[in-house]
Amino acid sequence: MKYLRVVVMLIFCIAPLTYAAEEHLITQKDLKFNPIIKVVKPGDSVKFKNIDNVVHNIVSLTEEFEFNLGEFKPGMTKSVKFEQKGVVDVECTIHPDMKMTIFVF
Amino acid sequence: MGKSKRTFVFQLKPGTLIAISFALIIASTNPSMIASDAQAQDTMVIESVLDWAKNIMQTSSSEDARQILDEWILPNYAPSPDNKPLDPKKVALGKMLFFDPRLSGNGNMSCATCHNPALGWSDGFPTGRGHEGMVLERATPTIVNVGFNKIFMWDGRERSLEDQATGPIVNPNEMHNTVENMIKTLKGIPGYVKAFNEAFYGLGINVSRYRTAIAQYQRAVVAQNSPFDRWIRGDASAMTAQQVRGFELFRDPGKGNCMVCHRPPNFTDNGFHNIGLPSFGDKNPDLGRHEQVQVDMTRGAFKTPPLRNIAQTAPYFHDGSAKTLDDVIEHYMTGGVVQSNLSPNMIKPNLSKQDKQDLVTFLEALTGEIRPELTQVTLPE
Repeated sequence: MKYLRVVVMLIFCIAPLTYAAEEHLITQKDLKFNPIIKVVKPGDSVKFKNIDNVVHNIVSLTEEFEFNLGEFKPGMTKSVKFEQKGVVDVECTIHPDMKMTIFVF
Repeated sequence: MGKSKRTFVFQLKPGTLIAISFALIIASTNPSMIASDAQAQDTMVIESVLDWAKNIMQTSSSEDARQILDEWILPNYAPSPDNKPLDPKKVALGKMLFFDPRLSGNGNMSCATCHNPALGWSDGFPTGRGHEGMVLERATPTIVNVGFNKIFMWDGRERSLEDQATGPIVNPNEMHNTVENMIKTLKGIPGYVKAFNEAFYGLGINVSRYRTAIAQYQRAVVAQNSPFDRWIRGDASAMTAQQVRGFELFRDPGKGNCMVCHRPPNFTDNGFHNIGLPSFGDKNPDLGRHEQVQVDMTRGAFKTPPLRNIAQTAPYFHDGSAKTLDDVIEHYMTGGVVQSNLSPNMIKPNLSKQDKQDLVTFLEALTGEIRPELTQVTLPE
């Protein structure tokens, strides 16, 4: 019983260390994000890929999660890493109807 | 009783009514006759719209070609936030409110003063004229097909027609009133009390219902059945061959590249672009969208205006700096006069003199008909 308790504790301690961060793909096409909701874990990255035929400007203006991918031309990819938990609103400042949300949990 | 109802007359020159009649006659003219005249001069006649689409889309599939064409068809009605069809009673009430100068602080300015149906539902000025003739900073946008927009005003500061409805009323430079005073005025007019009760199930007058009625009326102002609309539905004779060539140039990224922002069916991307107008080089330029969203990309960017009925809404651009459609195209031919913070989607077009003429004729094919009853109004007493 004593050994079992130790093993369980070790698993709880080691599990977070062994979690491999993932990279999640979010595309832009026809002035839309796909998907429009994404759940990721802290430490994961989101790769934005513009498969549209127009330039976008992907940003997050959410406090503590701000980023700005600048001129995001057709064919370009850029990644953003999310270290902390939170809800991140993402939009295109050129086409503000393009919106999506990333849940970091 | 004994009181005669007040029939609405624009607070403009007497010639305005004649101009309205003329505009309505033009709108009711069968555009196919115009198209037919021009077409007779053209040797190349587009036999099949579907074949055209297949060729342009480089597909052999009729279904794929039809799908593209279908995406360019404008719906008959602009969508409401609740997805319900327009209510004729609310539209009728909204029409009275839209044309009623009693909504302004001085009682001499209505929505229609600036959004004048005889002037393409705009005002013909480079930039608007407000309270006591004050020259405003930006051009008056047309409200034709405004219900299809997803964001409102040149800088996108309003998210719905309902949100926008009181903006000009309370703006001291425009209608110079307060919401409270406007509602008080409306409550003092028995005809409005009756009309609100009929449109809103006896609930009476309040600002929320005012917003709804005005918004519903604006959603009804839809330009339909333009030569382009009929052509896209398959009537190959609806546009002249020159207009079809103009459309090809319009959509070709290597030629006009217009469709990168002016996307059918309403010919806008609901986006914001700095197009390098000379006025952005002024000492203190209008920053447009940047006033709402503070990132580099929005500096000097303004909303992409829809192009429906564009031939009727000169002058053009947010600063009214282009007098004609030819001037608009000549501006784009510069690739942007002021290059700082230019929209990355703006590419200098590659157009010959003939191409430019073709492009203008295509833009004229976007002029649709608006139901005449939307401008016939009797104001309540």
